[in-house]
Amino acid sequence: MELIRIDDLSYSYESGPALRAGRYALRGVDLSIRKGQYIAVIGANGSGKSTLLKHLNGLLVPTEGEVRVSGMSTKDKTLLKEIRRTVGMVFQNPETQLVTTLVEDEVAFGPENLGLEPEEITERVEWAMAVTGLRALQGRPPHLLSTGQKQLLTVASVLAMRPDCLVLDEATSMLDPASRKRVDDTVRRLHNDGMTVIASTHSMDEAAEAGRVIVLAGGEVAADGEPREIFSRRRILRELRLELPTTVRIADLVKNRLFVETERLFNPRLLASAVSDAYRKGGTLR
Amino acid sequence: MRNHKDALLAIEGVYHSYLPGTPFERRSLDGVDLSVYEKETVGIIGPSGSGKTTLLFHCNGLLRPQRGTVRAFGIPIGEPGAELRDIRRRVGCVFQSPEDQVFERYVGDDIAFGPRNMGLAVETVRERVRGALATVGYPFSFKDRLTSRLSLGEKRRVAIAGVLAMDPRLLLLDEPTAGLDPEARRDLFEIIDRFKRRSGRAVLMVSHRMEEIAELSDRIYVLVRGRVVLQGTARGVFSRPDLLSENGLSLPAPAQTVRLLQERGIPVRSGACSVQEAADTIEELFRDRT
Ligand SMILES: Nc1ncnc2c1ncn2[C@@H]1O[C@H](COP(=O)(O)OP(=O)(O)OP(=O)(O)O)[C@@H](O)[C@H]1O
Ligand SMILES: Nc1ncnc2c1ncn2[C@@H]1O[C@H](COP(=O)(O)OP(=O)(O)OP(=O)(O)O)[C@@H](O)[C@H]1O
Ligand SMILES: [Mg+2]
Ligand SMILES: [Mg+2]
Repeated sequence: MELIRIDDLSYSYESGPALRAGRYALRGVDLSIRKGQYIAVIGANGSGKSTLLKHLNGLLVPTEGEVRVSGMSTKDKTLLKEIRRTVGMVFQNPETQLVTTLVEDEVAFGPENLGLEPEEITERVEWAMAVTGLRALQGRPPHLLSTGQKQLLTVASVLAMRPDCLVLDEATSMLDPASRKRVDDTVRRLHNDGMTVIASTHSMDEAAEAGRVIVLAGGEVAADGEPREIFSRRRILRELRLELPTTVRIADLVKNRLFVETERLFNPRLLASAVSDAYRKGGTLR
Repeated sequence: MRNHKDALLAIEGVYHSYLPGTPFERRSLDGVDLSVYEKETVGIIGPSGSGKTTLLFHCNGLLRPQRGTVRAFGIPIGEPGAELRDIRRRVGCVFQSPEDQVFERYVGDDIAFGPRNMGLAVETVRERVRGALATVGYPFSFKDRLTSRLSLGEKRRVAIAGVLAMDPRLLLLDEPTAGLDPEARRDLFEIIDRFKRRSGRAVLMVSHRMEEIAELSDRIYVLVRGRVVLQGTARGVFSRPDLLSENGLSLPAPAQTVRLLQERGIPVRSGACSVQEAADTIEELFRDRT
């Protein structure tokens, strides 16, 4: 089932056609996002990732074209509330998102705005604080936290809203490895229960774990497919100034020893098992 | 052994609390010793809230030690009469959030801010701006962009350019690659490598990306709850996976791969931290068998 449909979307931060001339942050983007997909959005700095993601919950509206969430056009202001109930978004810069004076109030803020029952709110806040590891920060004012702690808090407050569609704009870029893993695991679990996930990242290791990768370049969709497919197109990746996941780079250096396509080996577990298979089979040259 | 007196940066027994004497008082540094010598890159890793940023702020005089001493280029930071101007000139810091650093209206003015304050001639400032922009991958014309209209990664690149334009001797980097695209990240690695090879210069860098720290650092400090719990070379630090995971950290992907192979009973040598080292280790495994 289609959740989000983007038709010929162009966007310019400038206003007035004269100013816009040639200065589009997005150009002619067509995308269809099905319910339950796990999508990574990658691309160079300034390629339009944040601009695209901000269109998904109506924070930006198309200069040209249309974005529909469950059939609702983001241009229709009366539908914005419903759209934001469906699509929860964590922004790239955590500072801009904090609104309350206590960590637990911050996590409760979203669910409260959804008009949920008090017990339901308490339960969701408890859950979000537990799965992200934020309990340790209970009772502290958000603006006095470290940068990584603030980022974790913004993630928890959107998780507590349990949106049908979670949009993460480089939302784990400043988390320590354990917090990042806790967030990844939680998002993965919610995804398995049906949540749609759309996450931008500069980490190819993270992108490789998605079901679908959308590559932006100069405001246009330059590639769209399964990670294996995207990462097998070495030349295009180079042209787009991207790179391969860490373990694929290792695998490429020893590919004569292995029996599988190296782009499949996008995490340590997969690489280790390919190497040990090859070793046990008496790895000779292919 | 290097003589402590020769360190570009010497931190001894530093304690720090935020908001002392209030209900929100927090001990953020709990007796930290750390030194940085010329021509080295020192990495700091540690869980969120362990005091990494607080520690960096002590290295350029943004915070004064409440106890203990911090000396940069022989100047005792925070003591009466210390020349903070000299410190700020020699110690450049790329902040964790570019939003805290980029504040002029135009990119060019933002990068020129430091050099102008140093009283450099107009032509020199111009050349510094041109050079710094090129180093982070932008043409000179990028100077005319409005800083309010940049993507976050673009802003971070401008912040890095602004610090490089001052030609500091000690470069402090707080999560410098967060938000950078792969190419800009590789460029920054090269900048760091070239920088630290020049005499009288060094880099002190904080990151949550273990791969980066492993690849770039000559020495690593692990900071937990305001204390240094482990220090050493990448090889040494990343040979302690249990201590790292107890503290919210992890192994770099290459080291994780080698460890998983060992767990499967494959006789590979330990110690690989970078992509190349892991590939060499795997190659060796097959070569040794034949
Ligand atoms: N302005 C502040 N006022 C009060 N407490 C603060 C302030 N800034 C940071 N802290 C607290 O001090 C401790 C150290 O914070 P610091 O920012 O140095 O951590 P960090 O290691 O840089 O973390 P991160 O990886 O998240 O950036 C944390 O417990 C943090 O919550
Ligand atoms: N508020 C703004 N006003 C004007 N132009 C903007 C604004 N924000 C971004 N831009 C421009 O729009 C283009 C796309 O920016 P966007 O923030 O979507 O990129 P991004 O892919 O998210 O980059 P990054 O990886 O750096 O976060 C860039 O050229 C950028 O300079
Ligand atoms: Mg962005
Ligand atoms: Mg910090």
